[in-house]
Amino acid sequence: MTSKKSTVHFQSEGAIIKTINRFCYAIAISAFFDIVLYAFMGLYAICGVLALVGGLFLWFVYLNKKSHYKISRAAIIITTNLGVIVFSAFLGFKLGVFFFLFVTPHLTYLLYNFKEKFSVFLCLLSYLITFVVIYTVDYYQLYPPTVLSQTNANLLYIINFSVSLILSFILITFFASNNNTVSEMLTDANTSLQEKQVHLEKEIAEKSKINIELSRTLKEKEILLSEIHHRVKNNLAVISGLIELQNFYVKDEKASAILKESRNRIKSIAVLHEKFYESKSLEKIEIRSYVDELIYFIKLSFSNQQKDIKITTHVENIELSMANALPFSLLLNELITNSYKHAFKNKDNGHITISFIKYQNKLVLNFKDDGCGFDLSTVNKDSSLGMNLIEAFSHQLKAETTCVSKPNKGTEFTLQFKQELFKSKEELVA
Amino acid sequence: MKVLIVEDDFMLCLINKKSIELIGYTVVATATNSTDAIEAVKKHNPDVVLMDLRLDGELDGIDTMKEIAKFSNIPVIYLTGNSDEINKERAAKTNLLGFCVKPVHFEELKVLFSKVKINP
Repeated sequence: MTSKKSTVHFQSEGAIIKTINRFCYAIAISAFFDIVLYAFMGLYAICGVLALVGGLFLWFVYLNKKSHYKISRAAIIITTNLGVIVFSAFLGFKLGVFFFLFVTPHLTYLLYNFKEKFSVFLCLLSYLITFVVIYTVDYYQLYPPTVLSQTNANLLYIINFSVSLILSFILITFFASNNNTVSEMLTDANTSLQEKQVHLEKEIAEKSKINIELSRTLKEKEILLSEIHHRVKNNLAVISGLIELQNFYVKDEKASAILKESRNRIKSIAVLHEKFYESKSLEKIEIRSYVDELIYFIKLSFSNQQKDIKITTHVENIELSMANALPFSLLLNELITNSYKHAFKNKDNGHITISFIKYQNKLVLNFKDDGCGFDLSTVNKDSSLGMNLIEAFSHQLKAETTCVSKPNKGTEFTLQFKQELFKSKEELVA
Repeated sequence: MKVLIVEDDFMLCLINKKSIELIGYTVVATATNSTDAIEAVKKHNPDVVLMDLRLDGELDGIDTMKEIAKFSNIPVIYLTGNSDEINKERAAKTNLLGFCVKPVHFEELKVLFSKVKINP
């Protein structure tokens, strides 16, 4: 059983952008309150920087809305780093602007998926560098002297500490609630998947039951069909055998030849059933091996003539269904038998060539002997069963038949069949 | 020459027996299953077995010949078509004289029987 991998998206990109936008709005609003606060303290330069920061965060919201999400999150990281540096430069290290750096891991987690390891690493590194820079500047006492009174400095220290703490708390609460939601969604998805699995398992069990039943029925049909071919072949063998036995007691040569011909016709059908019985599909046979066998037993049945007749074949690997194979086999049987009977009457040796090939959307049977030939105009079809049968089977197979024969120059039959005729109904539909 | 016919179809068995006798050979026994065939070989020691591929019972004609091969090197002519490659390969492992397609004709049998070396 193969299971399709399903991915459950617990937090879409849209939801993350929404959260970042809220964060940006929060920064912009707090920047506004800070402006008021610093204005009271008379720090107008700081107010200007705060206005810039607030404006930038509003611009990030705009970028997010224009689907420039990746640019805006990088800009947020850069702005927070620069913000901390600039404020520390203006106000000094001891006013506690660096507290905001402790919020940054949460911010990174908000902005980046932890699978983006390199980006996360760069963000955290940038914050670490910022901290080291502002701390080093303070360590070497490079900050300009503060313009704030000690009371205001203490107040700002407490405010920065409190705001950064609150921000951390808000972000942690957000992730915790998000994790709970994810956990609930996972549980729901798991339950739903389990239900689906049970349903699928039931379906699979039902289908495999049907498949087993179908395979069994198919096997039964195959066995039945195979058995029918075997029985038909055996029955034909019985008929042929009885004719053979009867022939043993017939003294008249003409009557004996007629019985032998009849026996050969029956055998050609019996061998056909044998081939179908042996074939894997039970519906089609490969005609080449059949032709070889047909030639073999017709040759044997005329072995008493003691003539050296060579038969050359060129038969392509063509498959025939039962409906076409039967008239085709009898047709070929008549052609070979006719040559054996009539073509080499005054000769001790001869040559028969048989080809059955595909040619330009047609199947072409060419039969040629180098025997005595005959005058077509003088053939009495009423007295020649062989010629009648050739005509009848050609007609049944809708063949275009041409016969060229001249006295002492051999006989040539060419039969062209439409290729569609030799396709099964299923093949034609396909 | 002594011939054993093994054929599950009674009617065909009878016809084959008569045909073989008419062309001058002796049918020492007929069998319709593998057990009878093995017993008949032990009892009559024929010169050749005319064996149907399909037989009643668990063993088919080739398996029966494999059992017979354990105590006798008697040649066999299988009654079947020759297009089945699997059976052809299996049959080649026995003392194979040839295949003969049912209905069997005198001429085919004469050709195949002429290859048999008669036991002294």
